[in-house]
Amino acid sequence: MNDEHDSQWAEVLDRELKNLPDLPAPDTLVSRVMMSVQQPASIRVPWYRRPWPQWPMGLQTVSLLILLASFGGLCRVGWGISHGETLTTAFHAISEWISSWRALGTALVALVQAFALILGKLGTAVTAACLSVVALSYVACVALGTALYRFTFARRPNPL
Amino acid sequence: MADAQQFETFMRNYQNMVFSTAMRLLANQSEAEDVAQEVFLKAYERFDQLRDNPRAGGWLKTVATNMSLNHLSRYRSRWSFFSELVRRGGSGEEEEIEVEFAAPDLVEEELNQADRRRLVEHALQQLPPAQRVPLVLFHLEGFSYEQIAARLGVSLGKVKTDIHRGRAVLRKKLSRKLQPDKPQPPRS
Repeated sequence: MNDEHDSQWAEVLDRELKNLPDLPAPDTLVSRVMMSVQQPASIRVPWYRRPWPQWPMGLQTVSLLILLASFGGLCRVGWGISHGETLTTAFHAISEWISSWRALGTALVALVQAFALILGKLGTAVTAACLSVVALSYVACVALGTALYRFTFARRPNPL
Repeated sequence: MADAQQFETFMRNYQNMVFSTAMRLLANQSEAEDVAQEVFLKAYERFDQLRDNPRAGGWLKTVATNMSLNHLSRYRSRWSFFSELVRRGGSGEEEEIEVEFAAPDLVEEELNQADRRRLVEHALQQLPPAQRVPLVLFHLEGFSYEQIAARLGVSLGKVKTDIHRGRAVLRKKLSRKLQPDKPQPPRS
């Protein structure tokens, strides 16, 4: 009997759904689309897919400065080589630069070791508690974000 | 500019159909409007092929369906975990429902057509996405169970179960709303 009712209902529902008229589109739809359509194609396409002359002014300026700096650097290197600054001097400068980063790396390692020492002194229980607090904070952030999302994007009233 | 005017006319002819397709899948007016806008921007790029094409409506409907499904999978999957938690804890509609319903012929007689359509539309939009989307694809877009399973990336069994549950929820909601004062007929 239930199967019979199920199939009857499926037929009725199918008929009802197929008979539903189209919902009225919002009045703003046409204007939104026409506004986009009438914009130049260059505005609809993201900046990184457009030719450079059509980039936004700020990006054009930054990219031009980077290009000029690169060109200046190349000129400087070329000038140095042509005026007797050998490649050895250049390598020396580079190795000095790298060694300054090594010093920074050493400092970071010392910092991590100090942190590990502190954790060791605190004991397992305190460490676990700290990690739990961090995990709980993360979950709280996700939950709050979800609640805000659901609140912000709550279903709007039916347009019917 | 003539193109723009022709396109506006073209759009006015199809905007309700495109918006309805998106709205019934997404059940959210602003998202449906965004999808409809994207569909028409895509149509504008191919307007030369679409303007006199008798199959333009079908093309628009297919694109609207695909874009709505893409929108659902792209923007909602990350929230589905929480949504499911809320639904299971809240209305209990995910559980097997013992349906008390009026016989279909009684349902049909009770209300005038406009009221009935409004109720059906509203009930449809209240369904959870997991039930509404396959139900809409099956009944309104003419997809088969297999096509729905392939498109949504779920098993055939899940599609059948979701559609069955969606129908049961609609039957429950509609029979309640359509016959508020009448006693339910005895179940055989």
